[in-house]
Amino acid sequence: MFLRERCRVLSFRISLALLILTSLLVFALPVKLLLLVAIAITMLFLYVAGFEQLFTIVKHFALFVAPLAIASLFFQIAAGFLNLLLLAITITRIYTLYTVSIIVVKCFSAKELLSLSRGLGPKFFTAILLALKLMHYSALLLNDVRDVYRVNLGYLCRKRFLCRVMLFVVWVRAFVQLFTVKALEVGEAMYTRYRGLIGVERGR
Amino acid sequence: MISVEVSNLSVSINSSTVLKGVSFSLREGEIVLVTGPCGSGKSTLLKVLAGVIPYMYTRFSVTGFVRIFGLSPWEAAEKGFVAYVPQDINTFFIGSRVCEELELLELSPNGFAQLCDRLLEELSDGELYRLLTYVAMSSGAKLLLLDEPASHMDVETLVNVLELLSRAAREEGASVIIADHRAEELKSYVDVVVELGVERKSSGKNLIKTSVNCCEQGFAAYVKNLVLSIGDRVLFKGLSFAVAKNAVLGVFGRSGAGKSTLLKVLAGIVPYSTGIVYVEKPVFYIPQKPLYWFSTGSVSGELSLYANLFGKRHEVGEVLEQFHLQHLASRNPYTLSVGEARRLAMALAYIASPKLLLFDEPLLGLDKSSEELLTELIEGVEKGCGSVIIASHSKKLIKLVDSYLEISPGGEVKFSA
Repeated sequence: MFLRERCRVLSFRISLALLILTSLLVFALPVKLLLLVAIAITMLFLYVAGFEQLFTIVKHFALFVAPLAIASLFFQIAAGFLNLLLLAITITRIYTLYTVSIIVVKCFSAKELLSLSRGLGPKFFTAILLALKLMHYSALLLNDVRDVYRVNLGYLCRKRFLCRVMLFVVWVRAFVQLFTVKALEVGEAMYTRYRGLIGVERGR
Repeated sequence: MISVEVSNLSVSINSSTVLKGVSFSLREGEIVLVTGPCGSGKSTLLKVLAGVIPYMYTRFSVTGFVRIFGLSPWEAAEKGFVAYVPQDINTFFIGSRVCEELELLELSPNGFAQLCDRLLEELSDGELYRLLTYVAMSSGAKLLLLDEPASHMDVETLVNVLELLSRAAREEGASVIIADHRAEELKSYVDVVVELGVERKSSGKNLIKTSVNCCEQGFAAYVKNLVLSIGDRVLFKGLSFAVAKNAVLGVFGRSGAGKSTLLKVLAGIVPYSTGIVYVEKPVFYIPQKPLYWFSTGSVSGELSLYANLFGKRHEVGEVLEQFHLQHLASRNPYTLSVGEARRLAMALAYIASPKLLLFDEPLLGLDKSSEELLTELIEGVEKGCGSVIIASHSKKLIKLVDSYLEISPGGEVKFSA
């Protein structure tokens, strides 16, 4: 609730503008100023989400970036042009874009995105909106299906690795089938319920 | 003026006939009830009228004459003449919260003040159906199509919605088609009844042959001082109850009271912070959401999978017969009607023979003969020394239970034996 209130201060529209601006700045600004941008985005994240969440995203970021950084380091050594500054700059850029993207996700508002879409070309924005909502929708669906399989079949093979692999395949198959059906339902919902949003006049 | 004209309509998919030679007509301001057993094609008929079959589901083959206000279903839908509420309401929403969704659709949030800030995925089945019905009614459509409202809503909400529909028909000339197998509950509100298919006769056989009277004493489940809130909504404050082995507990209450959440707590899906919850394992959980959670490409394949997992390979044929699924054996479970899918879920539960069966809204989509199957399944689990907990908004099931909880919104719970 508290988070949403703070996100209301920073509207989705502003956060989206910030993402576009930051994406340009991290590549256009001189290296000395890049650090300032990264600090500013971190401060903004602290304001929007708090310290605990900053810690979590830094942890996730480290897990995601560490293998790439190590691989890059080895590649530089092997190729004979070790440049730690270049590596640091790249990581700072990725970190800045990663953090600003999370700010945008946290401030996401379907209503604002839809009003933006009306101004900036409906098809493009409807496609983005649907992609975002579908991602959210499929995550919920995956969770629901996993819960059912965990309760009903999860106890069958606790220690047998092959059995667990088989059960994993079973629920992934269930998810894929269900997701296909749900994707059709998205079309059905767009066609039957959201016609008004795409400009069809009302009947009665 | 004639609003809907259907003549000799036939629908088939992969050489299997879903509807054959259906004819009826409807005038403006009339309410029609389309009734019939599970799989008789009620939902398919509504989807044809909504224009989604065959225009979206292109594998269906449709013949015959269908006109809505003189237009093809597709044209009528394009002009915004048709509004449709599906049976599986766990559908896609653009908005995240109730009021956000209503604002997007430019509808007033009247009547939804209490649900305004609730996330759509947290709404109960009944609340979601009421919301979708409201959206359909406010869309300005001249033809309203509602699939299985009686299965989703509690009696009070259903009566309320039916009265609103009657008013829309009377005062605004809207035509309404309701597909539901609970004809008795709806007959007084409708002008015309269209019957599809023939109700199957009960096999008269008992499902489970074992008659064990030496069940161990003790509890299959107990809950002590359970406190559970979702957001700022208190669902249970100090809930305590117990279910003996070999017994059936009913959990009743209006839509949104927390029945499904209680089953999820027992299944270990929803965490709780205060209280003690004990459940004897193995548990089998038949959820209300999702209604479809099958992983193979055919009904017999699904049954074989479970039979293999539970070491009951030889029982597949027998179970197909017991649960009236023989004629559906080669069908993909995702093409089954909701009632048929629930029968398949019951068959899977039967194969699993759990110590505790958790069944959320067992009456959803079930016709009379499938309801008899449910009774037999519950009796069968009991005879096998298992226990059953069913959650439903319909007190029709009270005759099947040994004791029941009645949950009121706000966390008050009454326990009756």
